[in-house]
Amino acid sequence: MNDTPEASRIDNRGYPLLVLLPWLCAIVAYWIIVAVDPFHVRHGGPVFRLGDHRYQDAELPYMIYLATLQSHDVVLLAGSTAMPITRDMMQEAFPRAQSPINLSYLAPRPLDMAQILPRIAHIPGLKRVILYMDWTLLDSGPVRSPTGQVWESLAKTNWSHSADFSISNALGSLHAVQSGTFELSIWYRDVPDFMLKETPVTEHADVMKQFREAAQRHAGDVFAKSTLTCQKIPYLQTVLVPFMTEMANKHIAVDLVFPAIPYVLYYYWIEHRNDFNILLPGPLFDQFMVFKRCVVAARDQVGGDSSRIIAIDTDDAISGDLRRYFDSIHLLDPEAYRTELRMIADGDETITSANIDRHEADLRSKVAQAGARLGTH
Amino acid sequence: MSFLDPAFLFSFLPITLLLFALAGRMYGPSGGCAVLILASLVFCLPYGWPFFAVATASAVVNQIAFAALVRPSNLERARLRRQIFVGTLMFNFGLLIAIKYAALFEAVPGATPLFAVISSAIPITISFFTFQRTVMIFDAYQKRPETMEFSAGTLSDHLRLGAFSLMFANLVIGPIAYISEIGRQLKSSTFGRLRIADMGIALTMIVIGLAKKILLAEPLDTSVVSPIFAPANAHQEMMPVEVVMGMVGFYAQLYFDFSGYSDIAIGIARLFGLELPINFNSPLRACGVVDFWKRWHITLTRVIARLLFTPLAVTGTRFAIKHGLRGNRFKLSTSWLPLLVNFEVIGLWHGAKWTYVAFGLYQGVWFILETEVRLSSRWREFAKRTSGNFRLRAGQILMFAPMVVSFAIFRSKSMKDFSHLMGNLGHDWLAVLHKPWGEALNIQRSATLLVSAFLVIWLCPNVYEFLHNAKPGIITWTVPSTTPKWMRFVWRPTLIWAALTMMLGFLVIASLTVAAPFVYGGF
Repeated sequence: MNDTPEASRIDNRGYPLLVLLPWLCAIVAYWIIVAVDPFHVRHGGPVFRLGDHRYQDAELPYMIYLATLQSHDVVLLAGSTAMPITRDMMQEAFPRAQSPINLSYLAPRPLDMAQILPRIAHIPGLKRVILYMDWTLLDSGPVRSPTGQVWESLAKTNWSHSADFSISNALGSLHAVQSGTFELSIWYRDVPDFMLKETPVTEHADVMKQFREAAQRHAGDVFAKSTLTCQKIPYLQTVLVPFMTEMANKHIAVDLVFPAIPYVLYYYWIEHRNDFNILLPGPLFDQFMVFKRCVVAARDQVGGDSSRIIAIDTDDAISGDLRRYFDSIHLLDPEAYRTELRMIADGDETITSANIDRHEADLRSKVAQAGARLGTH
Repeated sequence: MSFLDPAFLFSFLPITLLLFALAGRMYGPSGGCAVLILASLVFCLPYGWPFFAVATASAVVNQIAFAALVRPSNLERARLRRQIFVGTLMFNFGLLIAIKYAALFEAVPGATPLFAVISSAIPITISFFTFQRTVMIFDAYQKRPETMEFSAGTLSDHLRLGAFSLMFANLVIGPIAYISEIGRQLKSSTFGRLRIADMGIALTMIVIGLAKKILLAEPLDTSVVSPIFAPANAHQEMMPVEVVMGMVGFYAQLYFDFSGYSDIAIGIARLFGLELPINFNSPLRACGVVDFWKRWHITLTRVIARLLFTPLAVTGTRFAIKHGLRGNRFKLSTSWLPLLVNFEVIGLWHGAKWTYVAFGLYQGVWFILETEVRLSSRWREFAKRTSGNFRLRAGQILMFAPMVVSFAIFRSKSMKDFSHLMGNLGHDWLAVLHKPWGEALNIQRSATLLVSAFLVIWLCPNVYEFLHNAKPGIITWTVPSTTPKWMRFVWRPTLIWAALTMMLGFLVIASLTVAAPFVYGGF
């Protein structure tokens, strides 16, 4: 057996003291959290401000949770497709908004939404909710996103503070007590973590080659019918309709937005997508259209005139221009996000049961043209 | 209260330690025992009042029965003692069956969904403390000398027994300890005092246990096991490589999860100056199924072997002699049947499911076959011609795949799910080469995780080898170390080990997010 040199030996007191150090730090951090209760797990105490910054992904679930305790008039909730949208961009698009906030996070799931939408519904001063209809909401499985898991724990936790304990939350709490703002400078990010160092996808020859191959290979089946039906999208009836009904009763505007995904996605994702369990195998243009039609039906079911469905995915200047994306779905160009927000604010491309056939025909034509263009290059 | 709960680690545990030290200083070992009992009652509360009631009622009944069994005036009253013994066993196993095997009653026509009600009322296993208390009663019935030390029935004796029955360190998921192992420690004049040297060793064990759970078992579950078993249980098509990774991943995950828990439990007991029996001794490096069961969940294996296998084997031998059985019939009566029953009980111990029946049968048949092979003349000749090291390594390699398969049965929700899982192995093994990058990347990440996990399993000394100098736990069966010589690091109270443990401590505390419960909490 290997023996360590006697020279480095410390006595039986020194060893435990060093080993005890992380535990002492953790005990102090734990009791700070208990005392400050930054996320109101005991339902009381002051609500701390959030700094006007974008936060690192690890802190985002807590920041979003905290944000739902505060007062906001315009709330944007989406997945990664809208995470880069800043408060300034929202302020530009909605000049009358006093306190807009973007609560978007990675890959939202219906189970997350069942938890966060009721919290959003109770945000004081709320006037408008912009809710993206991301493809991850098609999930019918019992899965939560990592963010959703944190919320679930925060909602369940009690005096024990088992869900909000972390050294960084303890430091944030100390800062909050001192300044009223719950933040640490190490949490700040210029862009979401997943966008760091990204460049336009058109600069990646290998991916562009895959795009071209997909466009060639699937020119014939891109619009094939799927077996998706509204009954297979539990999100709509279990989460969205109750939320929209509550919003309608409170006269709060709701914009349901289908994001500006590139036309090439419909070809490329037939084979190349990260999560096969959410979308049905095979072509997905039809799946996305079924989703839109089901959302339109859900909106009609709720009725009222406070909600709109906006599909901003037929604008050639965005969806047709791969230079503005860094992969097969995420926009890189800040100007594109501004355009998206303007389209939402202006109500462009609103779809209803009356015009959805025209919308589908338009999108189908543009997707086919984009595929043909890409496939012949 | 979970060992992973910050409220447990940073509030309950330090407060209990402070009270323990205070009570120990004021009232000696009895004061320490009293604090352990009170703390354990508090520990039970977060699991709900039904669990609290069951755990404490069972402790009280067993303690009363134990006291009656060892009372000097009762020692010669064989009939009364038998009645107490049988009555307590019926109480213990009746409670266990009613709670754990309530699913069986669902088959009764008109029965309400009993299992759903009970499992929601009692969200955590009661098997471990039931077995520990049953062995305690068994020892008292057999008049073991260690139990007779409680015969005076003083307050101090009751406090010691209460501390043994209820101690939170091993109450929920073991290790299952014997009164002979813990009773005298609780009586020692030093019990009730915090010893700084114990603290260092205990915290080292706790940190290693937490690291096993948080840094290895959890990522294996979320990145490898669940993503593969979930669609497999939904009978989706899978690539053979994925299936193999899921099965191998679960084998490693379960080991890190359960042995991590055991390390934490043993470490927590050590904080209070108590030594618990070790529960794992590098089982995934065993050279056969016989060796495996000397290394895996040792404290359950020894209880079942003692309370079930040995009496069955003795009865079987008497039967065989009485009826003049020979050859395979003799073996069937004296060893094979007792072994099969032994492993079936180990399987069913995990719950009322056909997969556990199959797991027990698989292990039992394998155990019998291996035992027969090792007793054969051919094996003896083979052993003469080969080195011990060769047989060890060959055994390790040969054991791996069958053991992975047996734990895949264990992990599957039903035998149908298991059949579907195995059916996927018939698909194109090269499909992984043509899969899109999104999934291939996942497989690469999972493979990296698996390789890291098995490097730890195969190369690193286990915590008891590593802390050998500090006598970290009670050893039941001595088995040879299979750690490569160049990796046999031994802990010393040195600056370097302190710094490494401290860094690992910071890492696990920083990673102490919302972790899944321990797998064995459900058994």
